[in-house]
Amino acid sequence: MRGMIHDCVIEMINRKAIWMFAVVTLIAILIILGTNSFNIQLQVEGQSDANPFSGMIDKVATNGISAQLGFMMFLAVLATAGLIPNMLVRGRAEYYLSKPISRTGLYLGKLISIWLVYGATIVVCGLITLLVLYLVHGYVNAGVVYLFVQSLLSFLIWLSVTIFAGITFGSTTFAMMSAFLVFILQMIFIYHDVFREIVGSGLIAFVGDTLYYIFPKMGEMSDIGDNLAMGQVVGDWMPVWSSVLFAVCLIWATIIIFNRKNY
Amino acid sequence: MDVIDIQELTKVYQSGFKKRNIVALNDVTFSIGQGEIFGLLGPNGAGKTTFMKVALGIVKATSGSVAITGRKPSDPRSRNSVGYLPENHRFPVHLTGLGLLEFTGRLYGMNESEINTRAKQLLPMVGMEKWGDTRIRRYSKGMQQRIGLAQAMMPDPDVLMLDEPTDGVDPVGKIEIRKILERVRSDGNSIVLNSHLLAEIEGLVDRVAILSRGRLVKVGSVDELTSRKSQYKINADIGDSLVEIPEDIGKILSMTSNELMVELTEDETINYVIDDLRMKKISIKSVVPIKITLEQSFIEAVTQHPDSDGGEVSS
Repeated sequence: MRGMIHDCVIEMINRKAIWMFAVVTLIAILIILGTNSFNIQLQVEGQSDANPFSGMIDKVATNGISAQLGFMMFLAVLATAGLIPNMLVRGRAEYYLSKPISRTGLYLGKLISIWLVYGATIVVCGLITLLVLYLVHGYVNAGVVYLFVQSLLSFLIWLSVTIFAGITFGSTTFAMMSAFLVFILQMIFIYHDVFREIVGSGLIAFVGDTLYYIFPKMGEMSDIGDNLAMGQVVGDWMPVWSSVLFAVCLIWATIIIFNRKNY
Repeated sequence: MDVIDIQELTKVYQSGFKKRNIVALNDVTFSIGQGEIFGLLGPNGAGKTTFMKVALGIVKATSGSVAITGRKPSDPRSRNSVGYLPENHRFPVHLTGLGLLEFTGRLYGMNESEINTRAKQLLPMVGMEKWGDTRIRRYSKGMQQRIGLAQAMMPDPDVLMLDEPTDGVDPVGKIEIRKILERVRSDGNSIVLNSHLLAEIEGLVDRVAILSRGRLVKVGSVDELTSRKSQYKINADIGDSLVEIPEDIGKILSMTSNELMVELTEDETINYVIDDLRMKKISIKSVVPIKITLEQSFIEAVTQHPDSDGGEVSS
């Protein structure tokens, strides 16, 4: 495991993926610094103590952090989609598979190391942005911890999809396309209630409902994260646990497929 | 003691939409002993690489069994002390040579101190001490083979499996690799060597298996494979003496004033030929079995085998 984490860090640096996260964080910092003049103006006008905009700033900052984490998660999914197919190309697969590690161990080791390394990068970048927000706007909100947790969980779910496709089809393109496909499908299945009303067929409605419950619900998970960060109560946790269940099933299926394949 | 034991091993790949069967290994049985250098010979598609992959669990056998140090390939512990250099390898190019050795050591579960010590031994051994900090993507083919050999030797393996280890290596490098392999053998470790270069194998291996179209055609020591059964070359002062051999004993292949080549019905009848020559007062200088090169033996084995022009196979 330690070897794989170490290798994942070197690979990330070597593939220059870390620069993408640095650039996104830099842009976020520049935006925050740009809004500093707005904050100063409010203070000069003597409105900062009972600032009617302070609530708005908190909300914008929380949504901004959420957007930044979400975008970095998207980048991480793209950056990591090729890692497994790349590991299993002819000539390299033999190197990994000839070592005294079970295929399940190799898969889980790679999954966890990618998740930890890229997840840690997302967290560090988010914390830097938070620090700048605090220094510039005095923004403090313990609720953003939920945004970090939600981002890491979503990243793990996306990884389960891309790695499943990467191992099954051995193609980076397929791995990326599978992530986009699942993203589009889950967006469509959110409207399963609307389908039921539009389509008269009970069977189609049943299929739509079933697929909605099976597929991950990343958009709804993001909304739950935002609500928790804003201190709001979450009424329905189903999108979270059903998405996690989807990832667990996909990880399980990947292990079975990986163990059966010849390289 | 056998470190690798293969019993009735068969591997059939299925290819294409019609699931066409491609027999890569067909009922192969042999074993490799401890401290032995074992050569696997065969034309392209003979099943040599498939054998190595099945033994390492990279490819699943269709039937039969393989055991490395008594363990099946499905047990990762069977690879605890096996080093492997794949053919046409593509090691992670983001690593340096030293980084590859360190990563390999970690995959074998070695601790950092063991890894450092071993890497420092291996880099000079394969002539790569100056290139340890250079990324693998900048290596030439020969350098990649050298670092590949080093990573295979990283766990100080009991069994070293090398698939075309001298591919792309210059003549000096080949000699160095040969010396390394001899050193590995002198430490009591076994080596399985896949190579197209028969001359290279001939002087190095203890035993050889010849595979053709997935079948084991011949297995034995190099001496056994290169000896012509019951053919002898007799160096003697024959001069213009009349030498004849009865048909039931054998026949003369060629004869000059100082050399006689005979093919006998049985090895033991060489004594009759010697007695006959001595009775004719012919001075005998030497009697040696006629040998062929490993290459000749290989070509004979492959071309004379009934399956040599059989169905499609793949390695």
